[in-house]
Amino acid sequence: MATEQVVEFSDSLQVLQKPKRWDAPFSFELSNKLEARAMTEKELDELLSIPPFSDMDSSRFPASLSLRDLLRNDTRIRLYQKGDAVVRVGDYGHSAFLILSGSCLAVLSGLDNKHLGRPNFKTKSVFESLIGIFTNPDSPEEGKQEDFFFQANKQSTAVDTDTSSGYVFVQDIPNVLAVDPNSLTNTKSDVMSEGTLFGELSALGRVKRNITVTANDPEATKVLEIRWQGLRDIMKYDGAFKEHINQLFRTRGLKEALRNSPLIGSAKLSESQWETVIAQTQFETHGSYDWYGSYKAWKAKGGDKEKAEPLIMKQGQYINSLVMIRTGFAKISITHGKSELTLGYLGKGEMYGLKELIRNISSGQPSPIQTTLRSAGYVDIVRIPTRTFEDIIFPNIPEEIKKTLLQEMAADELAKSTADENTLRADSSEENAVHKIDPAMKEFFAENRTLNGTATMLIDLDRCTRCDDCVTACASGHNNNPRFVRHGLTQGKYMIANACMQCVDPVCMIGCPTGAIHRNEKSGDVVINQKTCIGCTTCANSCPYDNIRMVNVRDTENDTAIMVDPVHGRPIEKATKCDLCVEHKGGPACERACPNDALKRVNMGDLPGLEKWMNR
Amino acid sequence: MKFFRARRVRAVAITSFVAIFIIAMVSAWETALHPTNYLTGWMLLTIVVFLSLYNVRKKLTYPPLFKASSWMQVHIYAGYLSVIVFFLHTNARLPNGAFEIILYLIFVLIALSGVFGLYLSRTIPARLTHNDQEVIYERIPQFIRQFRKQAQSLIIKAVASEDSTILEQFYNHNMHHFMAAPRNFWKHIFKTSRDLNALQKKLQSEYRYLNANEIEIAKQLVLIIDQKHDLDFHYALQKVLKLWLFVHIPLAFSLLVLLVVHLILVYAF
Repeated sequence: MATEQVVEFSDSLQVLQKPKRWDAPFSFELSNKLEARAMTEKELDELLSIPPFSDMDSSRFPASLSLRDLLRNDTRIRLYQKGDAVVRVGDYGHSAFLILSGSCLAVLSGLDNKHLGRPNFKTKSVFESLIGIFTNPDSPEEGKQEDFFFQANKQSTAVDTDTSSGYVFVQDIPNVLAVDPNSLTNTKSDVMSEGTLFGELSALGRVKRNITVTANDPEATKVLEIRWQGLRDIMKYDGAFKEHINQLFRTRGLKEALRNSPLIGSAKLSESQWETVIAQTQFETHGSYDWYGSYKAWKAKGGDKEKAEPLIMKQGQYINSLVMIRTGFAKISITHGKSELTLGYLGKGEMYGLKELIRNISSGQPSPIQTTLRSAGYVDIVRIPTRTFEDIIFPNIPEEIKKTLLQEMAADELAKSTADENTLRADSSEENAVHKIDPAMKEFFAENRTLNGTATMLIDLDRCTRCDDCVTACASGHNNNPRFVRHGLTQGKYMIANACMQCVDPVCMIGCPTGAIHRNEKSGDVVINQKTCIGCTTCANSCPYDNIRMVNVRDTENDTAIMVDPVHGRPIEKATKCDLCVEHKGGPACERACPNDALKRVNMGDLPGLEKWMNR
Repeated sequence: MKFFRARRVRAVAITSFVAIFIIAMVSAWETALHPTNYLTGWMLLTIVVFLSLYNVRKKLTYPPLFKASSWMQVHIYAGYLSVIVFFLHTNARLPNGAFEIILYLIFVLIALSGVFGLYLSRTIPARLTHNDQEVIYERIPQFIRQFRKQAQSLIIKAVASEDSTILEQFYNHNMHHFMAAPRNFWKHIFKTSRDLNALQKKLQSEYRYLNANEIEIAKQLVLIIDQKHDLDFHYALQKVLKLWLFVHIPLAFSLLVLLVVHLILVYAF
């Protein structure tokens, strides 16, 4: 966390110095005082003497970002006791880990959620929901201590328990939860030894951790945690490390990603052809990884929109590759006057340039790209070179799929010939939907990054009588505290209310120290475990849409007084957000409670569904 | 056919069919020289009880009992049907006796308030949307307070820095009342914006007596008046959207009670 420094110019004038990167090293973010310390020169020397750092040419790093300083400020040494969870499956983290001494156990499958500090999910019965309506507390967020606090895990070596209450005030929990060794007996796991790097793909690609890793050494396991900013810079200045990371992705993720693509996966390729495709595929990142921070700043102050949406492919260029979105979003637009008109957007797994490539193959003439592709915030793409697609993939795609593609293209061409500029279509199979949504509305969705939402609360203000039945319904199922505000951005007659949109790219989950904010195993919805939320506000500050609210909790057994942390004397805060009524049957209560069909939870990726609802 | 239109056509068709069926059944009953009052009376009671279940559904937010909007549609069209059955039951004539007249009038008032409420629910939201600002009703007093403080701060600033009381006098004589609470309720309801501009014009006419700094302050006051008008507009229209329910729902409860009394009286005497 950056510290604020006050520089005194005179007796009367005080100027607050702008915080800088590395004002405080990464380790200072830890609440555990034993680990929250600056790295010593001796430790840095030791780190620089072991691979992969010893293999790096430190002279390639600029003086302002020396390898030594990167290690000093963007990494931290963590000590774990046997059984401590280093990463948990399903979490979103922004760090990679290098085992310095000891070993770790990678739990590949078979570990129950309850051993990870997450409650096993249970949907309430209709009767329980009904009773809940009548037993709702009078004050918001009211309950007993055990409703809000994680019960002390006796197996944990890292948790400092408050013995007086029998419950842990989780504000004091370091970000370590221990996994009971007995729970690991029936799991499929693998031992990772000293020198192993793990967690880098989910840190850089912002995808959830797919395994749980626990410390495995009877003595303390020493791990170097490298935050993504450090990883990014090391990759930037050390080609070998970058290639190493890319190679890890090629071996661990790319083949699966390509094979899961409906089109490329349909190609009947031999193993050697797959190897060639994977070897020739390139990775690129566009936009800022912490786009949500820059988006907030851009939104607050304004600024260069073009800079906020870096170019990937420009209209009129020759198509040199087929682009597949790995994570994040890209915006498709066409030149319109002196600016660009948004046609649509692409999300994870979607492709760009396919129709141009097929057109080129079928006509034998290279034609330019009809649209521009830009990063909408942050996007990771894979590029399959044109030659690779033309020579290896396309010839091996089954004829019936090719025929369908060509028919779609012919229909597209026909429509284009009669359409004006505003009705040009995106490179998508959802042309009609894109076509019918007002261009200004599409611009609004893209500009405000709401395309991230899978359950965006859209309100038709022309039908909304402002009766707040949606708010009341929400409160009745959530401890008398509505988990959204019927207020937000508006465009025309539509409002995007301040309710969690259940993002495709849930940046709120990055950096949660206890994993309290997680995806529900059953429904996939992002939910917060009240018992392990420590009220650190990381998620609320990260949410680009201000859809997470911090609330004080009240003690039923103490005359509904606000609970106070006995150590620090501060009110206990918990993060709250819309959970789509995941505990109740029937879906989101807000939508079901609206008597005027004014409110809908919309998947912004489902353009036909969105169009249908908007043009009712 | 679009969703709302298709739904409307379907609902009107079903309601018409049921209404024709009921009219035919009552006619046949009458032709057979059976008394129709009991038949239509029980029909009406059933429909009224069913209509009141909508409010119960609104309270039961979580059990999956169909969407409130589906209940609303049934409530609207069952309401229309109840009017037809009501006229069949009363022969479209005012009854004799004080109790029956009260019952009759309450039903008519509920029906009228329902239709009026539906009209309001379908017309006011679009008017609110047309106004660029969107504000939560409960927050309006808080915003008014903020604007009032802003305006008063500007006046104090003008008096302190310019040593002139023109703006202060203007505020005391013309703006104090306006800024104290939501105003111009009926003017906003009936869209008479002409009168609403009068205050701003009056302030602008004072510019000739002000120096450059005071004019700048006065311009800020004009903006505050404009924003206060927006708040008043939202207050008036959102209040109407809430108020009609304070007529419709209590009357519905009293009708239910009186219907029980009516039923007892019919069977007792």
